[in-house]
Amino acid sequence: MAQVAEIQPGLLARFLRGRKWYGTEWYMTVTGGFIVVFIVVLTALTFLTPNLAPYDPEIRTGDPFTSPSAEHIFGTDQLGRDIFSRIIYGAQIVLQVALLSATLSFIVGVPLGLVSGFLGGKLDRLLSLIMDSIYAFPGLILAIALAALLGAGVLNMSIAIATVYVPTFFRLVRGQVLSIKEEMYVEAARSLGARGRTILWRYIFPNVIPSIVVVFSLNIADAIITEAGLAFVGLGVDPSKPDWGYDIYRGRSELVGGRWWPVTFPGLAIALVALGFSMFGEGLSEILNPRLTEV
Amino acid sequence: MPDTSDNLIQVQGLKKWFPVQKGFIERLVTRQRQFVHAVDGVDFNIRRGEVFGLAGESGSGKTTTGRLILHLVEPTEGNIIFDGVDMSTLSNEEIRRMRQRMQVIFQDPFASMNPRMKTGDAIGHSLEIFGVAKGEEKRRRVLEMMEHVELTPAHVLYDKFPHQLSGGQRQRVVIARALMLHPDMIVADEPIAMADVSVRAMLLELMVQLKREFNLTYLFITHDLATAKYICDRIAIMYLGLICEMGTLEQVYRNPQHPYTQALLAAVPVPDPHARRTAPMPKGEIPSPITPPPGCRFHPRCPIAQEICSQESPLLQSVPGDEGHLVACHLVK
Amino acid sequence: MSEPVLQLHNLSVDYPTRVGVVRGVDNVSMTVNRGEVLGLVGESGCGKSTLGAAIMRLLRPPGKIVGGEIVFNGQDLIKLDKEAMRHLRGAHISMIFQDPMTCLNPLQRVSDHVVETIQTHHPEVKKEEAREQAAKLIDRLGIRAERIDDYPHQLSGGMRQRVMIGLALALNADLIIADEPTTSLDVIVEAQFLDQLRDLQRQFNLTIILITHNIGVVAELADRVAVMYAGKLMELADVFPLFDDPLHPYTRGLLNSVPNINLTEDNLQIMSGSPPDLIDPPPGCKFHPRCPNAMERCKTQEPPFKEVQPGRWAACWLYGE
Repeated sequence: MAQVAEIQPGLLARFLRGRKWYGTEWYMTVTGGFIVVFIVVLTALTFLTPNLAPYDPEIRTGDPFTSPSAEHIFGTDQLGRDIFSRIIYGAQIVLQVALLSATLSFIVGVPLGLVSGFLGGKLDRLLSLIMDSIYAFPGLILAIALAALLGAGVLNMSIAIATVYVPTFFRLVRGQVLSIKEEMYVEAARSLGARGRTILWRYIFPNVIPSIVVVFSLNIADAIITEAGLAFVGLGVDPSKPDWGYDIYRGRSELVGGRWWPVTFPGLAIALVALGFSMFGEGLSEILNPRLTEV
Repeated sequence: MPDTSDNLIQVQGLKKWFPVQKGFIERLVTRQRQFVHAVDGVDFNIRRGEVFGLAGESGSGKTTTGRLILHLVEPTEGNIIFDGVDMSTLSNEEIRRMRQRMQVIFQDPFASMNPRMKTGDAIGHSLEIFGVAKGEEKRRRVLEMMEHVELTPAHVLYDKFPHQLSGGQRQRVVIARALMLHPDMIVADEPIAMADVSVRAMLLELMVQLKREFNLTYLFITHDLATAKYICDRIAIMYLGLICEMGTLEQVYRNPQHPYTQALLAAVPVPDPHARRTAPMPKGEIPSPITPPPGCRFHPRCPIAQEICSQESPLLQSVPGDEGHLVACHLVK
Repeated sequence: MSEPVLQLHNLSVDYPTRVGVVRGVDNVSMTVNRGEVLGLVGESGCGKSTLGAAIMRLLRPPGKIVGGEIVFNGQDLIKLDKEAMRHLRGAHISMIFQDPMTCLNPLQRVSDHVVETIQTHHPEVKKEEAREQAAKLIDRLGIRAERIDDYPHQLSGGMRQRVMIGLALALNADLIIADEPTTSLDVIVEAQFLDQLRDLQRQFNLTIILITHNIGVVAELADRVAVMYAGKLMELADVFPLFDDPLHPYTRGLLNSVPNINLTEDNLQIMSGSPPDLIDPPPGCKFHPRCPNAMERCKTQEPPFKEVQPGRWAACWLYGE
């Protein structure tokens, strides 16, 4: 059947327009985008103007366990610290770790996946074995073990989390390379006389990029949750600094007494940011894949 | 040293057997390895400047033969001699460089184009690969070629991606791409099968025209004997990995000797209701190339098969009194 | 003159896409008579497969019928509800698809598939009886009895295609729609298939709509031929007059551009241009940009599809009002 070719307008235009026919994706694209933009802006503001947070998050600024009110929008925790400010400052750590770890796993996983898939043979078998072994570990357990081993600090945390996700990128890229290798246009490139590295760089890699970018943003969402989990079990970056996961840990015993706000707001923050990045990733995948409509 | 004789390509005793993939347990239990006899002993020459057709149905081995000649796949046995040079003696790098002289047009133009490469870049990529031209010079040459194959307006289409082009345009792109380095030979694997019916005639004409202009030699692989008749000078009919008949167009179409060729020619649907087919077709279907029938491969379906046909495989021999017309059949004396 | 089995009145089908609405079938009217083979021919995108799917009410969303009537055995199929349509399918209107491998359940034996088809529409038939009917059917199609319990992947392409005919025949359908039935078959198997279809058609007085882009296949089998282009019917005539003396310039161009293996001279005529973009089709007659006989009128007004001579229909301004 004839194929009606889709002319792709600019990236931004498509992003804004969304897709009129399939309502859900429209909302995913735009809403997800908004959420992420919101988060990123918030983070930027946190760096530029610490004054966005009404109070210093680390000192006592009110009575302990005041419920949400006009002075303390999210209430205060057991040490009288303003929770809203803690959320804002906590965003710094969370986002730093999430972005850094996603980037690290990307930098390690993608090139290994490309090379392994393209060359095959013993190298491929060895790398696959290593990656599968790492992948077999439950993510959080592995992260906990590594974090305990490496110690505290943003970099160590990021390395611990990154290690858990390297196999994800590796497997994804390797799988894509294996299937793209069989495509007719790769054979056509060989028949033109292209060398191996040219084929890998100009024919295979560009066609792998869309899926990588999507997984990257999903990875960030995952890393946020993992980081919160690590903080929850006490292996966070720095117990003295505001941290969403740690705050939940500290506040959970208070739920029994009816004080819901120390746990709920950090929890909501984690959920929203992770969700935002996930939606962003999904929306991105809708945009990046060239689609052909069959008539 | 370039071959001074007429032949651009000489194929001698070419075989390609693909191992059949088996499961782990199966491999333990059955000791014997099985092979797909895709190409099972093929000899022919392609003369400089001619259009040589390779025709057959699925499983005939015609596409594999094309890929063997292009060295996209290694032969199990046999030699391919390109312009006097035995390709098995060449290193990988030398073969890669030889690709400048031998290009291919694949069956599906859309699948054979990188979806993320602009048309102009895709066409001109070979220029960059072999350091012939780049940048402005490359663009100039590509635009010139695009005009040549009527891919216009060239400077607009240059920046388009494959999914933005029509089927006919894509077809021209792959033709242009093959021609950029002015190769000696082009292997065309079902080049028009995927084009719209009304566009095919135009593409065939284009190929004929380009052949004259660029002094090309074609290996034209097809299952459509009507199309082959239009463009080929000589033709070889393949069945289950072997050539069963070969000769000039006149010889094979006017005076087919092999029962398979005869059946094939009769089976082609003719666009003329007055010429509806009355001849019966051979029974059955093409057997598996993993276990081809013994003796003559066509004998189980052949209407005139004799005992010898199931025992001995016939060799490709000259038809008496018809120079250059070869057939592999015991019953042609 | 046999009676009509199917009548299409001004049938139109639209496909909404991201970049606009495509009119896949545009105002098609025609009749299919009992016992005839109607060849529906055209290039890819002309709407012939869409038309076949529309008749079966099996259009893939987002495609939908936006106008006209499909009258089958006195009923307008468009007005039927899903359950009623389901009863019709298989039992009264059957379809043979292009690629039998994707249309036969790979996990179901052939015999089971036929038996299930029979029992779905005739629940009163017992399993053994259905199996017997299936066996007879398969035998009639030239497939050896022992293959009846095979799975589709164990059969060759030609055999699978024959199973598809079998399924269509199992319930004595009034109308069989064959959508590119031979496109995926090798030449000789295609010829065998056409022979068999012709025999069965004569034997059982089957009514078949044969959808194909292959002009040769149409010439082999069809009694009447309808030519479609860009969603519209361009010409409709008995097969001999159509080939001997095509009225519409598109038909003429199409027939002249197809290689004929019997001809001694190579006389392929090239049609300029290519099939139009259906999102933004040309105004007036959709063929006018490629038409050697195009007049001023053709560029702005679409010609009506009418009976130009007895039994010969065409949509072309060459034949007046």
